[in-house]
Amino acid sequence: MPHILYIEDDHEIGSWLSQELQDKGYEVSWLQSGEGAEAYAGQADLAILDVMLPGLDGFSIGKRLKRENSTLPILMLSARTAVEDKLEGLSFADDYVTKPFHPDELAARIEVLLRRFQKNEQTIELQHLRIHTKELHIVNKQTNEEILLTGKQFLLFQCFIRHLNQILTKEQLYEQVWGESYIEGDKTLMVHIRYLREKIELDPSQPTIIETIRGIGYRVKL
Amino acid sequence: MRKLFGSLQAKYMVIILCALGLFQLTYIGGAIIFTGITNQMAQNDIPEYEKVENSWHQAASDTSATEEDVKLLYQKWSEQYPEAGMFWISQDGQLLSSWNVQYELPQQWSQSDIVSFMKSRYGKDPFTVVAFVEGKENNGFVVVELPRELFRDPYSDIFEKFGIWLLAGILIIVIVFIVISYLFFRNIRKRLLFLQRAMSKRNPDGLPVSIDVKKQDEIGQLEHSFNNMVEQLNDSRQRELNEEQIRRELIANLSHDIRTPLTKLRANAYTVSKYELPDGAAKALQTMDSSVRHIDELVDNLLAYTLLSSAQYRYEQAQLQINRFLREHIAAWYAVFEQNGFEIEMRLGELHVPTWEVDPIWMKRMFDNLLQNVLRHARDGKLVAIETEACEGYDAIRVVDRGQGMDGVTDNKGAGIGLSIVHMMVEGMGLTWQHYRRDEEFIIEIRHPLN
Repeated sequence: MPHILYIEDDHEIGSWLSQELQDKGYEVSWLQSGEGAEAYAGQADLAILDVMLPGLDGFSIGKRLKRENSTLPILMLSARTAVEDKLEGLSFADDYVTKPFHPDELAARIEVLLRRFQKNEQTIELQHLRIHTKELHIVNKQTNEEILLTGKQFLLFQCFIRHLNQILTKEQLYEQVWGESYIEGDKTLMVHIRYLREKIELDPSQPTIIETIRGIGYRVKL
Repeated sequence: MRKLFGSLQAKYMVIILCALGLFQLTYIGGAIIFTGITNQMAQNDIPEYEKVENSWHQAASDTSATEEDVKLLYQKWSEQYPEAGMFWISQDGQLLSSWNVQYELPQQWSQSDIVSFMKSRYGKDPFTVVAFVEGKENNGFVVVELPRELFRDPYSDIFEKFGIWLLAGILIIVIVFIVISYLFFRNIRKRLLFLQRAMSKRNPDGLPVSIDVKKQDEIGQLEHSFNNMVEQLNDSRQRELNEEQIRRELIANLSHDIRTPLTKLRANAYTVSKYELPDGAAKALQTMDSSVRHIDELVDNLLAYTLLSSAQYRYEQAQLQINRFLREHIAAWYAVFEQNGFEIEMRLGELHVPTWEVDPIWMKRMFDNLLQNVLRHARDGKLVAIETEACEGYDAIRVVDRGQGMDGVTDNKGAGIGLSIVHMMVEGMGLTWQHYRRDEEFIIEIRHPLN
């Protein structure tokens, strides 16, 4: 069960969201100020921080937590929406959500962060595939056989799994997998996606797992 | 007094006065030396041509035509002019006597000898005077010869001896004056150039920086005035920053204070929505939720509008690849449009300028507002398309929908603050925009001029 450190001074919002997160299966440690937050830096899987807090503000607490544990994903949850605040928050935090937020959107963002930082052992059922997200172990449920991917295919699929339901453009995929700038017209990505589809799709000519979003990019939708 | 002598004007006056003084000294000194030498020459009794000529004529007239008298004449003149040579020629051309003549005289002089002698001596050296003894032609004539050196003009002598030094002295003074003047102005020029460079320097806030004042002359005073101006500018900038900070804080706090109760409202609506509710109540909750979202957007737009209209909205220009930006931006909006049953089309073409110099955050904000508008006002058309095209003289981005356009009436029509923000941002980034219809489609076109 992923452990979330949640710092919020407003009692009403804090108790409601803590309850919501617990209902969604997370263990929540809710603090009303930054005092004692550093003690959770090692144990929490994710931190949700409000900005305007008594004593130290959320930015300072977030920076301290990140210094203590750089692998701890931090999500800023604030009613401050100015560009400057967002920029300051995103200089160290991994996501910035503004209030009033929808709990489902927040839960989706938490999931994305946990997957990105490999914080939760999760098994995803994706059509005929069963995927263990932590080590990206893919099994074809129909044959019960493991699907083995080559290095680049693995990285590509990992990228899709970390950004489930999000559309990734060609440039974003190429830069994340190859670590270089994408040059318009380069077919490398398309070739690798074709190979990947041949391994994971039931009918690679009619792909249903890796969707092509025409004119934009690709998406793996849960 | 110190201030007076510290001024550039006083310094230059000192240079001019020194130069004038030196000129005067040279002339006065020259005059003194000149006068001294002239006096010395005068004391040496320098003869004059006319006087010598007259006195020789006079002496010859006063001398009787005897050998003794003529000899006396010789002796007398040789006492006064030891260099003088003299001789006496009789009427028939015979040399009767001579005195101190350094060359050999003919004993017998023909008329032509006399004429050629006279001719050869006229205006030449030695100075020669011929006079009849006793003033009578039949007594013959006496000749006196004096080297012209004895008649030399003392001025020209002085000039020959000392003129070159005098000229050299004046020349040196002139050169020294020119050099000192040049160095003086070069120093001023150097300081002015340094000042100009120092005035052009800017600190990270774009303000000029203070100058180190080394001298208290006119340039030093200018530097002081400049430093005062810099100080005032810094104070003013600091005040402006403080005001900006207060305004930002106020807006941020206001935003926070409005959003916190909205969050609670949404939280409660969400909690209630989890219970089994009659249809009417569920619908009311949905309306409440969308109203919360709407107020949230409105607050956001209102704050952005306030900041933009007071030029306080942060603007950071960067290179933005337009087609890539549009793909990524639409990717983020895709799920929302998809959920609302929209057909999403990307019609991206090559642009004249694929990378624009704009603020990516402004661009995001602008397209968020435009897409929000499509979602709210063109829901029935079920189409959103993004086009890019290289047109003649400009590049265009088009947001296409099948709504009723700006004149259309929808349930969600607001005060148009979202489009006002788009308008301000378009202008702020040096772009233009327009809207028009193309068959069934309503188009908002953003243009990037080529120059």
